[in-house]
Amino acid sequence: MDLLSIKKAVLSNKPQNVVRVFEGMPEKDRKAIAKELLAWLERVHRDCTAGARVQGQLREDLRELDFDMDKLDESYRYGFSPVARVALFATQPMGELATHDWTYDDGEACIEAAFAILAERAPHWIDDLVSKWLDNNSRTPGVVDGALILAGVERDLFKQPEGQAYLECVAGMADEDFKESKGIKRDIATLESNDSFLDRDVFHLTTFTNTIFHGHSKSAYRSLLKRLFVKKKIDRTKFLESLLSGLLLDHKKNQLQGMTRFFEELKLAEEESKQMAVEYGRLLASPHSFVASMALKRLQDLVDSRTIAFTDCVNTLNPAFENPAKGNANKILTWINKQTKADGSIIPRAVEPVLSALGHPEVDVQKKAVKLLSTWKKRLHRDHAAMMRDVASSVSATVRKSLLELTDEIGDLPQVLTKSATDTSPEVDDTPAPQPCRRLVPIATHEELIDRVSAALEVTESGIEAEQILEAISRLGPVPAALESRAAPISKRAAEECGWSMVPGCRGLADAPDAKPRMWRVIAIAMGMKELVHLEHDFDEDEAADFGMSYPPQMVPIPLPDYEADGEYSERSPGYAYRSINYAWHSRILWQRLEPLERRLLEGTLLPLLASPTHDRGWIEPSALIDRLRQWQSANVTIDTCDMALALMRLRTEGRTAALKSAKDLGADVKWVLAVALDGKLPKGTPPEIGTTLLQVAARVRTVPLSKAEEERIGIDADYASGELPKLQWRMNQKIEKLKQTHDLVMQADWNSPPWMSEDPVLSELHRYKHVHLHSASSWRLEMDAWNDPYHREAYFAGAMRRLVDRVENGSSNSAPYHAYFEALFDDQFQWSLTACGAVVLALLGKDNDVLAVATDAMNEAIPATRVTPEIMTDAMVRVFIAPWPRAARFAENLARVAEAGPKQQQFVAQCLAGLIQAWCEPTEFKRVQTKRLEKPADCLKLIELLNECVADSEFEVPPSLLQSISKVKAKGKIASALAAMA
Amino acid sequence: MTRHDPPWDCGITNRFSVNAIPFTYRYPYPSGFNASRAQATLETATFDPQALHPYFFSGVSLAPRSFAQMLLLLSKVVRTHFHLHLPPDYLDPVITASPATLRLEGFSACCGVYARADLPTDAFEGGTLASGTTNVDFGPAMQSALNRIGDTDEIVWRVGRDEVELSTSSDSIIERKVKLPARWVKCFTEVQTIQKRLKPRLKLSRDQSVKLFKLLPKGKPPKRPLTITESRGRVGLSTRPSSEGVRLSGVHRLAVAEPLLRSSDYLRIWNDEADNTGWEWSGPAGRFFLLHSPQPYRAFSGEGQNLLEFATTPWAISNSGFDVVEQSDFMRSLPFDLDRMERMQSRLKSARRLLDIGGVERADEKTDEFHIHSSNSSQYVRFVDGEGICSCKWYARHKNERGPCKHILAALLFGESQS
Repeated sequence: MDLLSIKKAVLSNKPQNVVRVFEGMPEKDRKAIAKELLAWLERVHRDCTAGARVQGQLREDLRELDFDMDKLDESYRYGFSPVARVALFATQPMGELATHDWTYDDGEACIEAAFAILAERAPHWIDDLVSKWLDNNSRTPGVVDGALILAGVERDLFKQPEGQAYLECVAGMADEDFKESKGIKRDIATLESNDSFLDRDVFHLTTFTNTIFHGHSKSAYRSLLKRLFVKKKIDRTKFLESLLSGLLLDHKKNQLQGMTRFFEELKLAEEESKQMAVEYGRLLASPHSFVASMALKRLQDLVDSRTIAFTDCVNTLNPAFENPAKGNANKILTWINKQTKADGSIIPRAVEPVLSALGHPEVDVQKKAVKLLSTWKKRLHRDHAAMMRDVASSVSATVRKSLLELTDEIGDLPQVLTKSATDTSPEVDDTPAPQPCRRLVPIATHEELIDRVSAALEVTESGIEAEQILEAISRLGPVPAALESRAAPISKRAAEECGWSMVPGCRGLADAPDAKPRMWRVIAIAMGMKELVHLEHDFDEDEAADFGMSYPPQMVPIPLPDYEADGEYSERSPGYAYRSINYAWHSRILWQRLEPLERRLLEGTLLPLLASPTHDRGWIEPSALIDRLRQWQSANVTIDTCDMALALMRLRTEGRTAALKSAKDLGADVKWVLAVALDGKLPKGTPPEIGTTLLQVAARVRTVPLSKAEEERIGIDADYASGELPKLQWRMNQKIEKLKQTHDLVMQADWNSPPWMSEDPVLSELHRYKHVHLHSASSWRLEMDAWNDPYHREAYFAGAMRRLVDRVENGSSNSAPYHAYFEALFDDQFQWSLTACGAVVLALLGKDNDVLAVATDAMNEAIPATRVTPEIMTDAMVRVFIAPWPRAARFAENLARVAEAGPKQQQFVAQCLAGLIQAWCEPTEFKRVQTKRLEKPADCLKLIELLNECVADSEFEVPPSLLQSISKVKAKGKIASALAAMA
Repeated sequence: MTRHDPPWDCGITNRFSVNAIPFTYRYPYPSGFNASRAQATLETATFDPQALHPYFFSGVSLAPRSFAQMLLLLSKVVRTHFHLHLPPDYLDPVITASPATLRLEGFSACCGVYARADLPTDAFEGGTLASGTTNVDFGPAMQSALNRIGDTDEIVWRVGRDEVELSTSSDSIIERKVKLPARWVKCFTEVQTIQKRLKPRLKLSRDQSVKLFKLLPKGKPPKRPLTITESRGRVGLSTRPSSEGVRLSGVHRLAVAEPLLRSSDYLRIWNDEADNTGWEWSGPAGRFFLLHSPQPYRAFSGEGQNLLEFATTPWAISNSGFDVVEQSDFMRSLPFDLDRMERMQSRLKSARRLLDIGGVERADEKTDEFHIHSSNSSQYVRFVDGEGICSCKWYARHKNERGPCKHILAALLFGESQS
């Protein structure tokens, strides 16, 4: 048969015509026309939706086949028509047929035609083809239509498939619309007469992942199953067993919920339920509370109706306490209590599950278990007491005391301290010693520099590494010619990635969009690349704005930008103005350091960077700064003000006097600044011409404040020098409607800077940095920012708070490595500020586990070192909890990790919680203090319980004022009990 | 028409299509409880590609719940992808029987976790009937059966059936087609090398390990590693690095073992310098060993620990496994088609390609320094104390922790060919 006839048969849209046209055609002829036919069908599909000219051509061509294009099947617009597919069945090789889906609504006639063709063409293909389709379907559900498979089986088009892939396909029908379509009976009702389904497959429906039992899916399957039970077409008991067995499998939660619900819907008779009693017992071990709850309820019903005895199932109760949820555990204990009250003889058998309950993590359950054991104490013996002593170390502190008292009453066991298996006596401090501030070893050679740069470009989280590389570049200069071939691959990398775009997978220096162009230029020059040197600065303000930043058009000197002009000001909700400040002031500080560095590299002036840290955590040893200044003086190079200002900011307190003494050979202006910075006496005479900037900064880093007269003499701002600025205002706001997961806690600064500051570009930059701190999302950048003003980190942590509060419900730290903020809290010279505590409170409230872990460690280290006081932490807690959105239960859970670290931490936590609860009881300076919190058990019960735990396990005593305050609180239920326990 | 054209291929994508071996498990009967036997019997079906169904073992478990929990955990690990949320593929563990121990082992779907249950025959009344290695059916029926086993049950465990039983069995054949990740097979050889480097670091009592699990963060696992410390009996979890602690990456990979805690006597933690971490639980039924790769996103198959060996000596698939606890090898012949192994070594293939195009050039005749040129890049490789250092991005990110990069490999191969 020729292709023309085939085309006509396809266009006739009658499947039997296609069958007829291929009848008796040898395989080699089919193969010969396969490609041509396929190309033609593709063209029809493609051109029928194309433009008028192309459509016109198609119309002409079809006319030659005596076919009117207006009668073309609509399905060609979206693919091939069902009849066209039949033709493909007649020509395509099996490998190709196996890769396409079979979900089309082709109609019964087309399906039968397709299989008729296959039966004639290659009958041995059919079963393999079905198997392959099913296999594909199990990986990509929906590829094969389950109803068509069933229809094929019903019509003996192929043999009954078996195995999981087939079952998945059949189960997939639950998702479909079972209306009849084009004559094909797409209904799972066909399963009613499918013997293999009734005898075998139905019992496997619970063994694999499917949506049959999902609440949201069609109820067709569930109705079918119920119908089959009524008609007694399937063994109900066997199915029930398979359903309960399925509940023990590792299915997704929604499938298990559906299966549980379906089991309930089946309304088992007592006798039927009795047969399942053993299965119920096993289900109590399920990690899913709802499954265990259903099983428990069934067991209770059986016992209540005296169908089984309580003693028959008491042995199965132990595993139920392995589930950390407390609901079922409490229910079981209540049940045991009820049963043992009714029949005291069963107490000996009930002891074991109650002892298991002592191992439950919830205090409620432990308390209940101890209470139950106390009521049975006359029936208990020494062995029981010994078992209780064994678990005493792992129960909560509030329970431990009563448990030990009980064991004493039960048996005369030797009194052994079992407060804890571990040594937690108050005098033992297990807190890891703070890591000493490590002296940094500078990069010694160009070879080392090349290796360090190569690695740091791709992977570094350390701001110190970035600083050390910049320092080495500044001191060593570009690589010598002998090493150029070695450095060439790295400079090439720099050239390739020197744009604004992010580098995929990079977590190093290249992962810093704000500073990248300048950083890359410096690196490229250092690695010996000459071509880049003559490129203009490609600073693009629009590009920068894409990263949420804004820069002035010229970098050096930095003019004072007009805040109102550059900032965004928008209305976020009625009556509430939200100011979004898209500046990265700290970035400009880095840029301002990099620009003169680049210039010096080009000039060949090799000098150490003044502000490079000599010690870990960004500190500079005073004597090292003197040495560096001496080198600058010898080279007769003007000091870079920004670099010098930062260097002063980073001076450590130790060794200042000696360093000042050794600075005698330095210039008079520098000596003036150093005298101010290094706690020296002011030199005689008038202040130097070096400028106000450095003197302002120098006065700010003094440990011995200047007198008023001295301040006036050199003309510096007292507020700035004392670190008083900025005056941050805490403002808590309600959660904004419609903005999901957005919490507003706005830190507003006092923008009224002294007028002289606006005349000094560097100082104004530093000053603005202190007002609002924003950042890029690279760990090393965040770490470096903490060293811009290490003695005054209010603004730095205010920036952290701004970021953390926005992500409090976000558990992912992929694009927001805010844990880097908390590295500054490990600094042994940093006494925690209010905003630092605020950031920690937000970390403990949030879901980001990276942030939580590092904040917890910071607290554990700072508390014994007394770098944080309970008073300031309580203040921060109270301020944050003014807002309604903080989740106190989560906060308590995370705070408990701090308390567990050691006795000092436990006492600290207790003090803070006592202060917080006191603030909730009695409004003080805050107008919106929410005493109502204490009336919401879900909200603050955990916090009160944690306080009780800490009190029970430490030497902390609840202040009488708090006891007096809580006596006035009108609380009910659990909260009242917890408060009473505190009293 | 190509298979990617819309009318035909409406999204048939197989995520394993490139890096997977089509594999069919074919068992003569499903694993699970055999109701036809007088005593409660858990039967585990065996199969290897030579259509053999060996009968390895029959014995009564002396610690049935502990035994069941170990096998359940193994089953859970091999069905879980710890790095991405992907649906499970029902892969079966491999069992190796020897007179003293039955070992069941497998990898997670992400290939970043290796799990092995070592069941000494002493923990059973009965014994081993044969030695060898094969797949065992861990389908839903087996899992369901394991879930039902309680502490007081008396359970006979049979691994395989004898020929007479097989021939008279009326059970239907179980056939499961899976796409066995090619990496899965490669991993078997990698973990042997890694295990030999592990050193015991901490040994925690049951109470301590319960405490440790209580400390594990809930919710999304932290991206950064934590350090497990132990001081005066107190277990801690910290972000601060500690020379005495053990680094933990991917807490969810450890949390999966929680069911073992109550039935274990102790938890011993092993690690090596590259931060591969081993977790050994010992209980009445035997030992369970988990090996974590240094990061959840790192599969053992990509570690390339054998590349150097492979580069310099002809590839030989190791027929032995390694038991880190006993510090001894055990014989094992993997029941997979291993012919594809060489094709899986993409770094080595690339290195050979660099050699073929003449891209390796010694910088100086006297020094161990090389320039490696490819069509789009040139890299610099040098050797310091036998350790290769390269200027490429891959080396910058991983150093030699995951085996050498293709440039170092090419330089090594070049050196071999010269000598």
